[in-house]
Amino acid sequence: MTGKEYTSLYRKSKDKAYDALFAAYCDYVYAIVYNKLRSTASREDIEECVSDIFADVFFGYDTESDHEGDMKGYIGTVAKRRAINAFHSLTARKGRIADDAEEELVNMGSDTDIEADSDKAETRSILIKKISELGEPDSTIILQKYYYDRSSSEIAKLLSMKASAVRMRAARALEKLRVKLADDGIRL
Amino acid sequence: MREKSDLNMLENADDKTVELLSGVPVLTDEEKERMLAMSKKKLDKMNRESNININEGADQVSGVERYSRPKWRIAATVAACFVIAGGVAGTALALGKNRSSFTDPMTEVTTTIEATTEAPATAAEPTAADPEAMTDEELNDVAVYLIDRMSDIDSMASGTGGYIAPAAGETQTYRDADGMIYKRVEGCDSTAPVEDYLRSVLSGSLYKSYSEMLLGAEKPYYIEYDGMLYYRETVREGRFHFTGDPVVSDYAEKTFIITIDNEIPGCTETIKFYAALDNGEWKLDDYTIAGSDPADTGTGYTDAELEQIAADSTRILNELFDMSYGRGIETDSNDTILYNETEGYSKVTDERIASNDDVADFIDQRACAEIKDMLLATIKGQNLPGCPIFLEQDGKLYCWNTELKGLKLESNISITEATDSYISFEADIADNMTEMPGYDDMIMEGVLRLDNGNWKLAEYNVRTLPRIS
Repeated sequence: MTGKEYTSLYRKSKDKAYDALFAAYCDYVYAIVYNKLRSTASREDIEECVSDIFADVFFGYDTESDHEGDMKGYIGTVAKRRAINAFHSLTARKGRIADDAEEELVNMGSDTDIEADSDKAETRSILIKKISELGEPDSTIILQKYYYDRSSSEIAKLLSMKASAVRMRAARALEKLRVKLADDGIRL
Repeated sequence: MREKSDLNMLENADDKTVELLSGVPVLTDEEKERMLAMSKKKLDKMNRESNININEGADQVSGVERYSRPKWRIAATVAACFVIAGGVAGTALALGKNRSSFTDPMTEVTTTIEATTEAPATAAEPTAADPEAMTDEELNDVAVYLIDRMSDIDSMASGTGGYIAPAAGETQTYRDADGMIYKRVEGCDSTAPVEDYLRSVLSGSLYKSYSEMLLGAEKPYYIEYDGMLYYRETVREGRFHFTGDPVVSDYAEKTFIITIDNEIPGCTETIKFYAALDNGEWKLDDYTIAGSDPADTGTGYTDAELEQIAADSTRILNELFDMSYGRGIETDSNDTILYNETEGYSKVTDERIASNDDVADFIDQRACAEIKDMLLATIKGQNLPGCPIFLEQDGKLYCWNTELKGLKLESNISITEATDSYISFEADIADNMTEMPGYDDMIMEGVLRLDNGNWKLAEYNVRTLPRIS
């Protein structure tokens, strides 16, 4: 959705503009927030953060401008900032050192951050490639179950399948993925 | 913290990966509708607040005094700080209310919880009290029972469960008009069992305080909806973490005192609970913190010295947090670089720091132990996904252009204990950390230690408290 499309809609009906913007970017914003807060926040906290982001965008976007470009960049930046702040607030509230932070400290090599980041990016890239090689619906099921932490019954509803079928496919797909990744020296 | 599942290597991913992950259908229509409704509600609130601010600005040109909630003050009011931490009950005590007034009506305890709710098994309910025949052993049994139940009720009031809580795993949920999520408590159809349970253990101001927290009008932990009982789970820490055995003293015909240690970050405090007979039942009526007077710290510090220590410590802590979050750093906005293609950084012109090593030294002079490691990790971007606070490039130091919220102390810390090498404190945290629902006032409890000639933050914990108006 471009800024111009949004403002044009906004002038006719604010509510419809909000609905359209949300429909266009809610999956994107949710993905950003989930990616940052996955280990720190509850599902409710994540929903809260997503709604904060859209409230910020609804409130803050300049509806006088007729920006021709996609609003994705703007929304993505607002989302990242909000998610990072939420991460910070949540970890601060939970006490001084979260379990994971301790793990991260152990794993952290102070002088090799760039190299480690590069390794991580490469591993992620291989993982994504191998997941997509599983084909549908297995690749989607794998991500829904083991990344988004959705239950089999929730996935079943989303994909119009039986929960038992989801469980079976998820288990088999995970095993396949493990084998594929092992070929590249990656352990899940 | 939730247990991670297998694909945690996808966390904190680059933009391309996130984009790909956003293509996975994961949100149900119901979830989307809920989030959209919440967004619009928040927007309404922002618009209302914005209008209020505009109106205020139009009326007042200068000397605008904004409302701020009551703040703690330094050492002279340490006792008051403790009672705030303890809730309304303590406040009532600080205001000098008469502890001996027990006006709660007689309520026969008929708590009948079924299915998923199990009474705590650690202390058996003592037999009905007979003040004429209370032996030391009987009194001790009553004390153990009451302390055990007090701990349980405190868990209920901290959102972490207790006697009357939802079963583990998936359960029916309800979201109220403010967006609070409640989980159904199986086997209960009203708030009556909660009320009965409270009345069986507490009376007087303690009862009022916990009743308000659990069942009050503002953000209650229990609500009735559609003929069912629902409970709001949060991550708030409880007030009480008892350790050791309770000790009974000052037994009179209708009252006695239970003394027990309570662990708080950095130290162990001693709490005195006042038990009283209420229509034939022993109940806890109020409590105080022993040794909360700075004069009792045994260090010989005068009030003025403690005040100076509090001010100096507060300055050290705020310097530490500001640096860790990159706040208040002088930069040159004309000399900027991009990190990760999206995040802007400005060259640091601040005289205090010229390199990452300087930043590390700055932290090292104000923090030690795990806290130092954690803050250094934060600065390197370990705790803030993908974005270090400071970057060095071509021999120049850059600071991230963002407005990170985080710990900030608005008023001086309150010293709870001070020796030549150790300061334990409590402090009020600025409002910028309290925007999520379920969290109200926040208090930092921590310890500063003297290390290589500098006072350094050695540990801290943040607790949330019910807001006191």
